[in-house]
Amino acid sequence: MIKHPLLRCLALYRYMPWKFSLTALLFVLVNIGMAWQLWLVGKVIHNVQLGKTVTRLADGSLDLSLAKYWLVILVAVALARGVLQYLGGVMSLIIGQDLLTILRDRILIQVQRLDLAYHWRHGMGEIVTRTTRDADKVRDALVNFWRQVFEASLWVIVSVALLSWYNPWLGFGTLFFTLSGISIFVLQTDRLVKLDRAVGDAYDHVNQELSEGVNGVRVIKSFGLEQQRIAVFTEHIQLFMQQARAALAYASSRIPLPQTMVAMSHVWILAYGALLVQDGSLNVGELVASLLIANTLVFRIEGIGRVMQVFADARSSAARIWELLDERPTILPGTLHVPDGALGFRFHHVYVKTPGTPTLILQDCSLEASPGEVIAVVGVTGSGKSTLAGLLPRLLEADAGEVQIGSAWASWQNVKSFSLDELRRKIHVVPQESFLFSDTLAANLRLAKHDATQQELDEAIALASATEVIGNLSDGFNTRIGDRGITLSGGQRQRISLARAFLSRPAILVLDDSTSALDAITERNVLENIRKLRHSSGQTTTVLLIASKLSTILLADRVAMLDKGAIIAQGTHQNLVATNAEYRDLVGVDHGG
Amino acid sequence: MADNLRQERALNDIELEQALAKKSLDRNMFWRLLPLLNLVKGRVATVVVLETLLVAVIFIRPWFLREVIDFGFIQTAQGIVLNVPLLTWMSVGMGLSWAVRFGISGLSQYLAGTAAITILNDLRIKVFSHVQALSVRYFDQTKAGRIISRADRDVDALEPLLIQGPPELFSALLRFVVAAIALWWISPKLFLALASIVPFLVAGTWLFKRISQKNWARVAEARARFTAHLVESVSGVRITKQMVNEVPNENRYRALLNDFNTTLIKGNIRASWFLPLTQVLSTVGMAALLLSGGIGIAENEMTVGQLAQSLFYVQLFLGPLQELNELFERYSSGASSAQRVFLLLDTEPEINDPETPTLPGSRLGEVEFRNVVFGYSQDGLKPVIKNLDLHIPAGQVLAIVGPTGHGKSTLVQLLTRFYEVQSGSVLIDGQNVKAYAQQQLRLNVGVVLQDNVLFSGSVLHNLRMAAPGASDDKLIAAARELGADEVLERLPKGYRTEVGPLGGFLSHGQRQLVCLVRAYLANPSVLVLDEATSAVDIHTERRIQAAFRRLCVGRTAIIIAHRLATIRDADRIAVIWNGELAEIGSHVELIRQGGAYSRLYKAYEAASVSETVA
Repeated sequence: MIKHPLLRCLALYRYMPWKFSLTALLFVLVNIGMAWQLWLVGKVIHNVQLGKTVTRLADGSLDLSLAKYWLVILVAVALARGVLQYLGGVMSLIIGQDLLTILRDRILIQVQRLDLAYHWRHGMGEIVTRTTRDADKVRDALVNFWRQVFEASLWVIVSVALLSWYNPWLGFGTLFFTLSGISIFVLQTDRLVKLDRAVGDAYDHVNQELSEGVNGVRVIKSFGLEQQRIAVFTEHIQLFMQQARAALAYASSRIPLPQTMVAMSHVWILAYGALLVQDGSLNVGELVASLLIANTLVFRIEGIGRVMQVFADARSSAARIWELLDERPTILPGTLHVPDGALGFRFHHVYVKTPGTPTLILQDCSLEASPGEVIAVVGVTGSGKSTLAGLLPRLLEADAGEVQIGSAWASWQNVKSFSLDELRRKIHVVPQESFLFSDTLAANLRLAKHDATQQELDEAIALASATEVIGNLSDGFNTRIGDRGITLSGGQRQRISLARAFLSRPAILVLDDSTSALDAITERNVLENIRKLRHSSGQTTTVLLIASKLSTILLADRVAMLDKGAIIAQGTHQNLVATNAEYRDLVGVDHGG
Repeated sequence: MADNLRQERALNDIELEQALAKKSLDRNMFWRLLPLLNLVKGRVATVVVLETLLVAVIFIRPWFLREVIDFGFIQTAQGIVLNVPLLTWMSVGMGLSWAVRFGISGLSQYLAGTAAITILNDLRIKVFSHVQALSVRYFDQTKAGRIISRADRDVDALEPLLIQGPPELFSALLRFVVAAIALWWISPKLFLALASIVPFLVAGTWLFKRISQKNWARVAEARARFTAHLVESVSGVRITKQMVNEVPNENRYRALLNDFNTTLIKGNIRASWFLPLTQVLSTVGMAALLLSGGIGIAENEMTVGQLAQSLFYVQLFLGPLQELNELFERYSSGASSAQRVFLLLDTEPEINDPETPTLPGSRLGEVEFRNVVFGYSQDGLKPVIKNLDLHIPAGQVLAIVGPTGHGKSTLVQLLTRFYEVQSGSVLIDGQNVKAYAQQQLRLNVGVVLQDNVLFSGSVLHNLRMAAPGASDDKLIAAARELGADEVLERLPKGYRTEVGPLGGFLSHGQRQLVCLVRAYLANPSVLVLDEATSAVDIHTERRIQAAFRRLCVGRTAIIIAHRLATIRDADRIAVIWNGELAEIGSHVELIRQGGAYSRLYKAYEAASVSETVA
């Protein structure tokens, strides 16, 4: 199964055994109907030749009754077959869509289930390609499965059966040429697949260039790089064209051979059939019917070149999709409930590696915050601050050491032991680069709390100092943002993200430099509100501030300094300023501050 | 949920695109597509000739059969004797006709295929070049994915329209004509028999085309909707996880999938009668031929061989019709893709170079905003900048402060002419920015934004964009001069580290530093830093500031920052409030005036007591 990813996709039909059998049955009937029709044609021709179909009556007029009889049967069979074919077509589409829906649904579930580390390792672009382009290729293969592969195989069986019934050697010869043609083709596919892959790779570069050319437009314009980018793009296109032409040249020069091979069955039937006619074991009507059958066979198989390419293409796509679907998340939920009330957190000798490399981002990192404390983590760019933030709600996982929540009085519990959903509801990280979905503003906020009342929304927005943002929008909370709506500025987006965080009322709030685009006063208001949040309504929020601005740092009860993956100093700001030269250098204050 | 889905249908893709391009669609695409074929005239002509040959070869084949049936069996007293030489020749002929047929169609496919590769990629380059020329507003309003798919999928979708469709239609038409002639030649009765089904066929085809075109447009839209949802789910996965929103998001996706499936299946139920119909008609045609052939034979007007021959013509004639279904589907998606591609090509850049651009003369770096009014919505409502006057003498360092959303960054966009002022003017070295060629202007005004992107390649590769031809050492030296070396040299492979697509492998702060060095390398006379170091740690930022002061002597600098410490050392500070210049002066002056700046500063000071001492 692993080796045949496409078969694995097809095996999903096991979830709809009845529909599948019905569809297959319809296809079988349709093809038998087709053979029956051609058999009838042969019969009529034979009778015509014997002069039985149309006879001249004594009065000189023509008797068409027998002819009419046969032809009415012929048309009736064709009509019945037409109805079945219609049903079969619709059914094959329905179950094809059912299968694709299963696949698409699983892809989404998997995308949501897999760890962030997986997403980072593979990059958004790659996952989007897998989920859209690859799924489309599998769809193309599926469409072809019914229309071409299944139907063509059935026709091979049905036609060989009918021909064998006329005469075993007619059937055998046809089978021989058909199978030889197909085997020649299979021998060629390896090379075809390789060429196709080269084309695909070349196109990936084109696409990458395209994406950067569009996303980087401001930089391109700022540095006057337009011509340069066009030249590079053209270069990639030319490489792609070269590969595409090579693949095309190979395919169009080699595929005629197996096609001709299959067509030889037609010649075989003409020659051998004529011999049989001479013997009297086959009549001319049957010879014509056999040739019509073989003709249909050649037409059905003719397209196999394209189908095999589609399948080869889909095979690698299906393999990539299964690779995604087979991936198991390493972050698994625990079973315990997260205790209500205030929570502190503790990093206990934590180690984290860059995925796939031995480089350590955090090494032997230890830090503790009691419930209700506001603690700031500072460190130079690239020292691992964001990694630290991601560990708490288990968006990332420690490679060694423990991340714990709770308190020194109650007890510390490894975050791994808790239900993941509850954990993430209790611990909220507002990331550096804020992300909003293309939906209304209210819907974006309600992600944090599905049943939030208007008043709660208003409060959260006020806490994030975003009331004026809403006020400036024409539809207020119902304004659509994103693709089909308006674009918010970085500062506006950050405030909405913050409001979303407030709405979720977390026990631990982590701000990963998420006030960087706010001006000093707005930022101060927001941070003051966070402080107030701790005291209002009996809810105690522990806050971890990942900060690079002094004004942010000063709001913390305590500051911890991260360097080369470990906390090397902690204490109050004043304390650190007084005792630690590196800290003074880092936050940019002079001694005695 | 269903209601919700319907609402989103308010604008379909094309309408949305039209709104964005501010152009209405030229529906007469045919005349626009035709010139594209110019590039491959020769190959197209050859393909036409080959297809004609192909039809000829195909029509010879039934003749071989007829010869065998009519003249291959000699009735003798001993029974039927086979005419062996005739049979041999006819079999060889039949075999050859198949070989030639597949050979020709291979060649024809190769020619048509290479023609397609040429045209489509030429178009792709055209689209890309055109996109590069468009103004920033277009990019701000159109999602990148949308623009990318114009040069990607939409161009690909043109293939059936330009390359596959015409020969297939031509061949079908030719087969029809040749079959008609051949039948007439055998016997006019046979011709009339087959002709009787043609009206049904034409009516069926017409109806089918009408129904299916409507369907495919709907299906394409439903598909676009669920795909967009998936893409967004991938990019927002972190938030989904954080919000524990997996299940509702999945349900929404399922609803979109169901909507798509229903649309597709309903459409197919309405349209998939076409294929069975052609097959039923082809059987009816055969029956009619058999009947009139039977009569003909009874009256000794024709032979059994001729009747058999004519049956194959029915198959040959109706065979290609069965592929029409797929062709129509691809044709209609190709047609809407063509519309979108042309719409993009028709979108004019909003901002154009003057016919005779002024060359920057002095390059001193004097900047002036003169009575500038500007708003992002073009109807003139809600201006972001209102009657702003601001003069920055050459060589001065000006800091701009003000609350988020009050127009600071907008000034930068106007200075680099990413957007055009609605009234008033922006001048550099006494010249209106409109008088310069845009590329010249932007080489003169270096801008570093908060969210600048990098291009895939190494750090050095990115730096070299601003200084083509500079040696590695020179680039590294620039990073050192600026004080970005500490951070950049800590990267896994130092300056040779790959930054990934759009710089995604680096952290935000690391990215900002590379952008900063890049801008410095371009050696502009006016340097604008718009929150350029917001994600960089304070220590590094300090080093960079110190370096800047040293390196930028004699250069005009405009600095927008939220960290007031960054600002205080500027020669002058301008406070922008609600799109107007509220006050301007040095730090000391403004504090003394006790206006907006002093309030801002006091609030800030209160928050960061120790910084005043710093």
